[in-house]
Amino acid sequence: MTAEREPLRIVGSSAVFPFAATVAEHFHYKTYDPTPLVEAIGTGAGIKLFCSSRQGPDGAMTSRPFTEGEKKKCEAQGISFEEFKLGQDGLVFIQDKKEAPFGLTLSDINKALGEKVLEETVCVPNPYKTWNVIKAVLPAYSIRVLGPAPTSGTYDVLTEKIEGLCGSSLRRDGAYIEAPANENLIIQKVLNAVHTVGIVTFSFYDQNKERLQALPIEGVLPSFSSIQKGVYPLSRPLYLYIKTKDMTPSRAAYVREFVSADAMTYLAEKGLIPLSLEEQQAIQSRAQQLEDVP
Amino acid sequence: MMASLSSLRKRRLKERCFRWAGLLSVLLALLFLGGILGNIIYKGVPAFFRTEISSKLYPNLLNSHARYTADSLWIVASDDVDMYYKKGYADRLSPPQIQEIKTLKEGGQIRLAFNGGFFSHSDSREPELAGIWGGLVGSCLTLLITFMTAFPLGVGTALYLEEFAPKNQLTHWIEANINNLAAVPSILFGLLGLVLFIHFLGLPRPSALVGGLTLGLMSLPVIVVATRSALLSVPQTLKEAALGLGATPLQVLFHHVVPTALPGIMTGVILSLARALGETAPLLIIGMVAFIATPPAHFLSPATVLPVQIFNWSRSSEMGFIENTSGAILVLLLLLALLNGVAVLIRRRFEALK
Repeated sequence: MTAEREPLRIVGSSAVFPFAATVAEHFHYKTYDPTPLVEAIGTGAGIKLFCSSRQGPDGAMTSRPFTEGEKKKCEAQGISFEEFKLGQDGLVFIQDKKEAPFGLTLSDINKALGEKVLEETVCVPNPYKTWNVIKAVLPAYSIRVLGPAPTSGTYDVLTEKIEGLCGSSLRRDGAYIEAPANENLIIQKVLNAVHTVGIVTFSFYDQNKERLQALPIEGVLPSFSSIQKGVYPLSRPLYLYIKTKDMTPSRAAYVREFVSADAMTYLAEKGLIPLSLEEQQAIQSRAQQLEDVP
Repeated sequence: MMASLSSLRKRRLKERCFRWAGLLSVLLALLFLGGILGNIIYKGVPAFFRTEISSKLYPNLLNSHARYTADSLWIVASDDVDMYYKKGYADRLSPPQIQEIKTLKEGGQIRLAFNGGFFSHSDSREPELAGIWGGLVGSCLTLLITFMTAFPLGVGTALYLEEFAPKNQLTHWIEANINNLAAVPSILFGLLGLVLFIHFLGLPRPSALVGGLTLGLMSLPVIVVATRSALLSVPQTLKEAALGLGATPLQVLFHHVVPTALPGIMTGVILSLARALGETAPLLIIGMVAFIATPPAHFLSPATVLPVQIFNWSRSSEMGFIENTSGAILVLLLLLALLNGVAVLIRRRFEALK
């Protein structure tokens, strides 16, 4: 056992938070190091804090890679870092299990949720009130979708993936309802109100399959294999960034635990979609190369 | 004659209507309260029990006397098994797993037992292992700092303003501001704490010290207002009698005014501490939302408090956390009731002494 040491500090995306915290616990049991502090403050705020000084947090968890600007800012502070892709996360359209399921395409979603939609060649305010106006096979009730708010990374992914959106915002006439950053709330509302669709991340769907069903997107249902293979259209990668200057044994050990085969198993249990085997091996060997001299 | 009779009837009718309206609103309020409490108790009580599996799984392989040792080792089951055993949620288990559980059930090797870990463990990402100990210790340390800053400062301010300060424009202006501060939303004190303690003074971020100081700022005006109203209720004649007998103003204050006003002061302090105990918003602003799996060792070590832990659990995806959330709310409600009970007790005690 080592003497009282400062715990590692990891900050960033709330989408990576449950996984990073789970790894933190296993890391503690395996190394006897103090359990790392994991804070969910959002991808953007996390990167900002990570890059603020060399003494700051040891790691940043993000739901997108650093932008060039962020990298430059970080390097200007004398911070060098390395990127580790952890796996994938999917966005799932959910419904109460009691409802009759229906499938959506990306262009259906655009028509249902876009603030403006393309009619022939011009962008017009969204005219669709019920699903079956978009396509006759869709249900006849009105469009009511609960999803992430514009401040979240999930919202960005959603607007980025929807095809042919006019502008980058979703409708604000009441058909799309922005829910605060609490996915359990979305699930509660979907279960309590009839004909309501919700948008949650894969881990929440996976943990609540007892009561929820997923809508297939472009004919593909979200699952570990469909997201891993990239067949399911609404997915995003998750990353961990670690400071490589002033490298400590704890930092290296935490990264190694995060990308280990063991972690891939227990994180999958929590809803993280693991990388393909080749990607896993490549990243594990990169983690081994992190020098752990203090 | 007829006119006055009908007017009487009208007035009686009005009275009856008013009474019914009052009764109805009380019933409605009780209904809401009952609904909320009932829901929390219904969801939260299962959190105090956990599913355990016996380690005596292979009696044929154990030594021949093992069956005489009544107590076997019971090990906490996973949250998926727990959910299946308590509520029958089977979707996250495979058919062979369910078969195994059924076999265990027939052999009496699976049971529901009191969840001691819920009180003795700290936070965890595994709902079956997560507990409130870390949050409880954090809350206690934070509240101690709040008490140590807000109590002397608040009571001192009130005593000075009420008994010594000259009554002029300036003190009048200060009084008005304190009264307004007592009604300011708590989240603004969080912003103040963020700027003052973290950005300006550079104190360590998720610590009981910063949390306690921020909540101290929030409680300060409430304590000042409560103390002043307690002081105001001390009869003027008492002070004048003491002064007339030759006591100095300081003697009057500490021998007569403060002891008389003490029940009121204590009640105000305890109620404001109870409010601080249940507060979340300002602590979220100063960043006490980290995942912390070890209870804080001292005032500067990373800490979280019970309400923030409840907030974090409520955002977790695992179904086991739903009952944990409600269970922790029950504990928090119990603590608040306890604090309020102490306030009532103190008031009664002092009033009896008088």
